[in-house]
Amino acid sequence: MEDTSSFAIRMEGITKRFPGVVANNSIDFAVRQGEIHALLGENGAGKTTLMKILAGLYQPDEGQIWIDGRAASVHSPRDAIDLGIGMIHQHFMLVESHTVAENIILGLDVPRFVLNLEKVEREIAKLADQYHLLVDPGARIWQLSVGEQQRIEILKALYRGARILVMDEPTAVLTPQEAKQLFNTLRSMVAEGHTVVFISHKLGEVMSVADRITVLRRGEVEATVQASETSRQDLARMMVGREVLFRVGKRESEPGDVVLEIDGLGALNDKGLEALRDVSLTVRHGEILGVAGVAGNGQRELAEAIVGLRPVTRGQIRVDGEGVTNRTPREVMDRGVAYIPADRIGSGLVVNLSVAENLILKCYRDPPICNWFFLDGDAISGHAQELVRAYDVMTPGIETRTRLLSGGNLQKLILAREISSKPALMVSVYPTRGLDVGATEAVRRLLLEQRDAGGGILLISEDLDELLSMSDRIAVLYEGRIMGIVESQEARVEALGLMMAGTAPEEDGGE
Amino acid sequence: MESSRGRALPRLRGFSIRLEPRLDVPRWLPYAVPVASLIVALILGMIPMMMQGINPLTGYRDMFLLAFGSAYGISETIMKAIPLMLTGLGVALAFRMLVWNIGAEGQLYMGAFGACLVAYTWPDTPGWVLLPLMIVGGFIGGALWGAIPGALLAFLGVSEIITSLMLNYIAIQWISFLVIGPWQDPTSLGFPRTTRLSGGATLPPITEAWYLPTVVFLAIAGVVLLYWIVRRTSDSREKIKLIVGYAVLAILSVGSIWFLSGLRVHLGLVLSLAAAAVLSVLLSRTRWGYEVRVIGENARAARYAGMSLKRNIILVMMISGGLAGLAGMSEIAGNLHLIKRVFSPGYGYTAIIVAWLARLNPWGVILVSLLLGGLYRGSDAIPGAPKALGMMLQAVIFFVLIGGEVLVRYRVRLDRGT
Amino acid sequence: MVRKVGFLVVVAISLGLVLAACGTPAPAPEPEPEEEVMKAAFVYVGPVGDHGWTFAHDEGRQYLEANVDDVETTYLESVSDVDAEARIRDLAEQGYDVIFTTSASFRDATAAVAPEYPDVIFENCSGFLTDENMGSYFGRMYQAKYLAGIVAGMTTENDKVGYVAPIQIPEIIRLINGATLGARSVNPDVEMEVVWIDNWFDPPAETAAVNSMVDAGVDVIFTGTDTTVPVSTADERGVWSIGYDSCESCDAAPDLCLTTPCWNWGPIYADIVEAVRDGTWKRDTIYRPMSEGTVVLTEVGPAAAEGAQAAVDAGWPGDDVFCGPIHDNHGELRVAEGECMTDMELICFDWYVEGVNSEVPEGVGCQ
Repeated sequence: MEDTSSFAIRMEGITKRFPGVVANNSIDFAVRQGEIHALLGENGAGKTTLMKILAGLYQPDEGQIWIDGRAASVHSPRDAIDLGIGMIHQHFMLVESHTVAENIILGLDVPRFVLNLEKVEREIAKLADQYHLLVDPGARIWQLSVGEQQRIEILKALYRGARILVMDEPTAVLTPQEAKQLFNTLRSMVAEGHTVVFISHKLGEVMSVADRITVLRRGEVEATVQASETSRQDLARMMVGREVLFRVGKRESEPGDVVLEIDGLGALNDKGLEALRDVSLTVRHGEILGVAGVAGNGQRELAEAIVGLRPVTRGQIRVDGEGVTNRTPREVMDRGVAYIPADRIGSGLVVNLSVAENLILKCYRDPPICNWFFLDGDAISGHAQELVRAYDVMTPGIETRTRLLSGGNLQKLILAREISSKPALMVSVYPTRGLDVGATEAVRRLLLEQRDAGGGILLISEDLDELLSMSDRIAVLYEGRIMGIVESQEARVEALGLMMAGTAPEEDGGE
Repeated sequence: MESSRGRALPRLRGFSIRLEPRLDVPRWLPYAVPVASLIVALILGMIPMMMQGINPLTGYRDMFLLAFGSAYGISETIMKAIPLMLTGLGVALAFRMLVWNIGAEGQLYMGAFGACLVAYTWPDTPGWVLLPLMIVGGFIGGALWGAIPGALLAFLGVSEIITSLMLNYIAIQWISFLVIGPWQDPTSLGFPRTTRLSGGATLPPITEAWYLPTVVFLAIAGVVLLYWIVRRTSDSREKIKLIVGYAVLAILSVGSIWFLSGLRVHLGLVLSLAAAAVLSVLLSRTRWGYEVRVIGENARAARYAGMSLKRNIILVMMISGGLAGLAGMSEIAGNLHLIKRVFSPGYGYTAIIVAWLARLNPWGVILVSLLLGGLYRGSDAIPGAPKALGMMLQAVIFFVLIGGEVLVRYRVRLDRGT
Repeated sequence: MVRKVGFLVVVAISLGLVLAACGTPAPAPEPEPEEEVMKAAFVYVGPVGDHGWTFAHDEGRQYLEANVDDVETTYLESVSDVDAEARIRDLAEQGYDVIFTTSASFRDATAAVAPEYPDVIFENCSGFLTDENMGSYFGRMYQAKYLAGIVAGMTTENDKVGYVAPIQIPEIIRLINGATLGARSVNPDVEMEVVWIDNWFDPPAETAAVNSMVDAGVDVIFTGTDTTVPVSTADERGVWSIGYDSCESCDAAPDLCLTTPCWNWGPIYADIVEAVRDGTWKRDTIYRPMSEGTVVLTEVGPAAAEGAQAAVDAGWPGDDVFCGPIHDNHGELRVAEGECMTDMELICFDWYVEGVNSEVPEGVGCQ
């Protein structure tokens, strides 16, 4: 038997069953004191369930937990906090209209009566300084970027005395720069004697930051390895159980006529500030135009302006030569524009409706789906069966509620719906974000097929690898401006990185 | 998706009870929980009964017999249920789209106003002309009253919860003004009420004369159904559903006439059932119903799919208000036959509970309305018991029914302590 | 009805199961009451605990139970105007022999149900409407109000008396007029203020009405509503009051309450039930004067002006209270010397006598 006291966390034989699935099947998982431990696996591998058990949010059906060598029972998040475990969820648990300091002390027993916010703010500032977590304790949450909000979550955990930090997909919402900063913070925390567990399915970051890696597959532990003794290929194989191609085979593109023409476009963001300034670009039939940029530089607004969801303040948008500026989403759609929104559940699908009902979202008005105001049940199920088969959507049935599908299948469902409308232009935002390796591959292949069939695609992504491998040309957005457009064969990652950071290509003198 | 924080309840010695969100709700559970809740509520309700010196078992028996123990009792229960059905359907429709119309009460009053405006303007018109006009008038009255919060929400983003609630008071005061002012019956000695409606303006009670039109209607419906089954449906499950539905309809309609003729139940019942049928078809089988469901579940996806939120908000509020208006029309034309000052005991508010317990399902609304109508009737009319006892029982039952709903979404776990 | 029991089972399944679980026997028809027992039901407009109108009627019901053999009674309290018709029909359906509806508000509801149940006797209080099987009963309360007015007129210092008036109907106009005539018979300077609360029973509104009148200088408050709230509110404000309905009204303010015109319904109820049992019941409008004991004025309290009891004992000058000459509050002579108002005129009273500082609301009276 190993010396148990050297483990910050030891979980043994953890089993958790949900109706119909075994999320965790007698998992043994151990994290050493003071290490960064990555929990790697595809979506649905059971990573989050295991960590929620650790954080007291779920009760295991079987199994034992030791924290710092002592047997522990974690019955509630409060127990977890008492044991020094702090969990940072993918979706932050912050009150938007409150300040940083107010959020951090929310739910604490002290101070019992008189609240000395200034004292709290000083303590927070000190803590932030110690771990290089730059925040203004008096700022209100809604004023902060996603990266900053994540820092607040970390501070919240530290303020509560957490020594073991559990982070669920911490980089999913961060820009590469913010992710780098986060990893620096994690390293300094480990240096101070804290222990970090983070959940991820991104091989690159796992390799670069973790000391040890546990790979989960289908609710079981595949292996626990030293980061220094493994490779990306090994990890990928363990994750999916087979070899994975990292470059998608791509034919030479054959661009045709211009399908999308944007000229001097301006638009505001949700807070009423200028998000797009004088954006001009074109996409041709049979071409993928990639849009790179750090998240929050106008990508979302650009996509929404094109599909008619966001008012345009200046400039023109033409699809196949026809003006669609400030038309309704319906009119834009009717001109042959399809849209893969960034947030699948939030705006791409209606998760409480069935698969079949989601598949008619764009064509429910017209025959054969709808005749004279009445929906045709036979036509709807026929349509659904055809698409589910053609796009290989894994679902128990077409009447299944969509929320029961996995992330990759949700995205396939959207693609099936959008591509089946035979669009001239597809605006696709972060199409592979959060998907596992297999699903990513499938989505990329579908997009390329659409391109080869003569569709124009505007691909907005934060993943430079994806842009480089998929796009024919790449435009870089920075603070709502196009910094430059380059052919992807000629593009160098460094040059793109510079443009993403706001430096124009060398020939221009900048502004 | 689910911000699944387990909720810890106070710990007992060595045990702790906790609520854990259900990831999957078994199909039978949403039906079993209300039944179990009702049993718990009835047991709790025994306490105030015993405090009043009433034997709870005989008390419940009396209540049950009052509501369901005779044809007369059932008829009176249905009388209570009719306005609940119509307002409940309206509320359920609005709630489907997450438009929180809590103004059914006011819309009911304005529906009564619209219907009576027609009735008092052309009092001598024969019923077969006047009643349809009154139905239209009642619907429009409620619909316009619902359109106000709808338009305010759609165009200005004003919370419909506040505006629809406020408009209730205005509508009630408007009726109060009418019954002590311009519409007051000159022969009432000064009592606040309007003149009795003319015979043509009252919804006729069910009589044996209904057999013929019902049979004719069933025959026509049967032919249409037959055509549909043979020509338009390929799914055999669908066919069975249609046939069973038709059989139930036929048995219920003929059975109701046989059972309820000569009692007070009136055409308003048919109106309610027709409204439920239309609403149920609208929601599940039409383009518009699909839009309502998509908007209710995910407004952003709906916007992207090109659905107009503004238009649908106003439309839904108008139909919702119109249904509540029909409730007002049917209550006046079918039950009271004249307007009194505060003539609704809060049907529009109970409708919210009805819609919610029915899980916004139109046929569920009909069923829940009948049960709550029985509860109201049973607890209102216990002779010799304080009024407050009946209200207390209603409160206990509502409270436990609504409280029990938490069990549909969460499961209770009992953990042995550390 | 019994033939329809088959269908009933289908409708009743859900609740029936619940009740079966409670061990209750299956729904069975109520056993028929034994032949000689009379079943009387009362429909009240307020709660039996209002210490006023409904309380007085419930005392009458208890008197009936205590003094007439083989009578079984029940009641429904706080029945709303809107529900009245259904509730009255319920009681008829449940086989009661006599149904008393104790409010003018229930007049039309009673009249609507009566023809449907020709074997049941309906009696409506204060509505003055009759039918083949529906009678009406009331007492001449305006006489007691007149005597109470004498006490108020002698006691008031500011010459301002106020009336907390419930619903805008001729009955209340009549009572206000009676009280005003009485007060001005001993003190011609007295003015009567009237505040309507538009309800028989609404304690907050009653309190507000008293406060507003006291603020305006009124120092004797007449209660016209069904509760003792005006009496106790007047006591809190330190002014005199006159109770109503229940003869114990003054218990709410023993120091400042002057006297109470009140009801003694028991004998009427006993008479009606006996008449129904004997088969001597006739369609009739009963309107009993003070001399027959239905209407009572309690002994004048110590707070009243000296000599008040004697003035009360002396009574009114002519045959009745509303005998001429009487002017209305616009100075017009309405009842000539030597004439008295007919019962029909009393029932339709739609004008105020001289001294009432108010106007009759529109729509009150018989058109």
